[in-house]
Amino acid sequence: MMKGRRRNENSFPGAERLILNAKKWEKRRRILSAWSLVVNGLFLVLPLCSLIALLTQFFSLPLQPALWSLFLIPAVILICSLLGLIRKKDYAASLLAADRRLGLKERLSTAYELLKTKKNSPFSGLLVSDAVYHIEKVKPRDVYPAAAPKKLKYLPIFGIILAVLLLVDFGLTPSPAGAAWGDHDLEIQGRELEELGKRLAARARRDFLPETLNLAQEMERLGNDLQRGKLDRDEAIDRLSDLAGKAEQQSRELQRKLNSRQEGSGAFDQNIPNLPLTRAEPGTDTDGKIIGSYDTGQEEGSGGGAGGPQSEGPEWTPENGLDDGSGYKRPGVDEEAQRQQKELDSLNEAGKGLRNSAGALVFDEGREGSDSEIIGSSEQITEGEGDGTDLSEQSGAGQGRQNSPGDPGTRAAEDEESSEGRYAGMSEEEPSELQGFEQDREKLKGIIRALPLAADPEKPLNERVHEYSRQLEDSILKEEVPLNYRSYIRDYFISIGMMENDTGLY
Amino acid sequence: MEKLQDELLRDKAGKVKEKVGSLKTEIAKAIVGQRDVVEGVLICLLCGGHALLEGVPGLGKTYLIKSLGDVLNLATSRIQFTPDLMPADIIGTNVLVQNEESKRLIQFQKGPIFSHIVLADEINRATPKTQSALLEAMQEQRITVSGVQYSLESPFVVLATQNPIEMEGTYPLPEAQLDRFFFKLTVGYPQASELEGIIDRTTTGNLPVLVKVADAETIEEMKSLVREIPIAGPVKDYVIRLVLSTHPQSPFSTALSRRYVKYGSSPRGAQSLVLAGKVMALLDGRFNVSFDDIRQVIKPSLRHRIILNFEGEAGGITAEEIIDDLIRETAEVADSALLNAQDKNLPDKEA
Repeated sequence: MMKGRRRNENSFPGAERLILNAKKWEKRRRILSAWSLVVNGLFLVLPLCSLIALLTQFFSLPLQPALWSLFLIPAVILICSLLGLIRKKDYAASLLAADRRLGLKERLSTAYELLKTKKNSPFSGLLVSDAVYHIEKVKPRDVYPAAAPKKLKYLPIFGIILAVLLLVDFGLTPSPAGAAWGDHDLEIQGRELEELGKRLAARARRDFLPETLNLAQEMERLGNDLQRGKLDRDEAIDRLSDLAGKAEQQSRELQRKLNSRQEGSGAFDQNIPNLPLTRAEPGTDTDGKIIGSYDTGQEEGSGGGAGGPQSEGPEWTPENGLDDGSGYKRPGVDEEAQRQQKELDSLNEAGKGLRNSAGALVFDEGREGSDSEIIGSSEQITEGEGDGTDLSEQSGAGQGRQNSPGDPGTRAAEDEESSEGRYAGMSEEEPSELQGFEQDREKLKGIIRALPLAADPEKPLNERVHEYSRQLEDSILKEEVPLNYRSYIRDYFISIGMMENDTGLY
Repeated sequence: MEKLQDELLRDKAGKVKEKVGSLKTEIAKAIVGQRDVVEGVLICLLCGGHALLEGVPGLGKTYLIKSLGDVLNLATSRIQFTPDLMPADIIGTNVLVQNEESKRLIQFQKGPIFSHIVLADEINRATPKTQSALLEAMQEQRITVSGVQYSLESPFVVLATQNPIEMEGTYPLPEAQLDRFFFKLTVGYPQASELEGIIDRTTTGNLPVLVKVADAETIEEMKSLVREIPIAGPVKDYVIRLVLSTHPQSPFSTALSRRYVKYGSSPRGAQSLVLAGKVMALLDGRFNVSFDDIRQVIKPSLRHRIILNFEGEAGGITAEEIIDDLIRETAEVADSALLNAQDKNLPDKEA
């Protein structure tokens, strides 16, 4: 048997050319492989993104198809390119591919194998020179022609479909409940109701107004439901009417208590609750609740101090109340009256807001029966102990106007005129308080005297308005202003933009 | 220095191609057509293998082998197998002879097997015992008589013939013994034009005179050169997958082989493919084996090594159809991971 001398790689003439060509072909092979992978990857991703975009046309999904597309498509291109380019170099495979494509009958791959594995064959030199001879004029594109992958022709179609689905809203998403009556109206009413509820709730937590807080929370929930389209129009009107009725009932009861106190039935026969010393701060565990217990055990006409914690310590007085060190305080009469008045004001405001919302919905649909229903409830309030909070005609009137605070007397006369104009349209069945208001000018004078003087004219306007607003707040709480008139006065100054409302806005 | 050696090698390879061409030309003077059979026989000669020629009577099988013996300066013997042929008739026997000094000696008389080219005509007519005597010589290239071993001269090639249509009174070669043949060549019926040539050459007085082209030494050189031809890994891998695909339990098997094959090829089939592929490469003027070379020699290498099951035989499926299916289904370059799969439950073909 012939024995071939073992030769190293360098002893084969042309071996380096063979290897160089192998490297060139391998590089081209990896580039084409990366290209093919990218096309295949896009062939998968584009339909996927189109599917997501299509689903969002039908359903309200949390997916953002545009975002997904912007992320997935470049990611696929990058990853597939890297996968194709960084794959393991296989020069033997490139040479074998060249053999098959050029019809060289495995000359190149056999020569390369002999070079690399250093097999002892007498034909090694012949094979290498033979291989080099055949690849003299072969270019990489002859071995790996740049043929477009078959799936490439589908990519533009998918791309167009995706673009259309992303850019065009076909309006296929089914509308939530209430769309037949205008999503927008319910959404607006819901938003306003929710804002009003939040405002009232904040006030209730600040001033210890438990009934207002409960009502405000219900208003918030209802407003939220309206915005989400969970209720249709009829259900919305029913819910609003129910809440308005509840607000009115609570206002009536509270007004009765205030009236009985005003009529001098005794400072000590009121159920004065046991209030905690510290107020619930927003964000704490007690946020949303009125902490403390309500001690309603005090009997009417009984003396002071009953119902509270029995101790041998300080006694409850109408002026100071009682702080027995247990963490709770029984307020004094004035403090309790102020709190009740605030509660009443808040309830009235809540009721007004609810009726306004319901009225807006009814007006949109033109249901006559509901109109009388809604309005009837407000008349009922005004007929009874009512606090005459039916100021829907004046809702928002004058808000935002920032008049310069002028002479209180002049202003009182102007107010009187405006008041006359305000109530001119009212029926004869107006609250007795309003009739009393027309007749009892002494009380009016007292109110006027209680109102603050003009703010410092040297200050800037916004500071003057702010200062005057604070002064008005304090004035309304004075004893010269009857309890049952405070809400009117407050509303009036809010409507002309001279007082801050609970949201801190004028 | 290396360059000179390469040039010498190139010359030698060229001479092999030239010699084989000359042999074909000379044989073609006597045998009309049958180019594949002639090439197959020459390949067997260059690979040191034996060939089994199967064909109906009168197609020139015996004449071909006789012509081969004429063009090669090699001793040729012919054994006509009959049912009463004994092993001693093939390998020889000890006889009692008297020398010049009138002494009686036991002398071994060599049989016809002691030749370079042995024509075993109608091998399937002899008894298995007689057949085994020949086949032992084919495998071992020596014989043992009375405990004494006698080597057979190289090159030693057995060219056996058998008739596929006369099965009455014959003893078909068992599979294990068929496997010893390098090639099984099917001698087909001549075409019309070839038949005309046969008539012209054999019915006139102008009998062809064949010239001796090569001798034993030349054959041996060519044989050693053939074995030096390198084969690349992927081509070798292709051979392995082809051979393994003949086994029905193999993971490389095709649907057809799983259904109709009882036993697949032994490793001798892979050896035959590689060696024959090397010869084909040389004849093509190349110094490496290619996938095409393997495909060209797969049928003569494997057709007698694939044993069909009853369903295959009853359905008239032939080994050629199985091989065609293997070529179609087996890719030239496959995943290398599959090669590591263990072939389990491969049957032991030799009883």
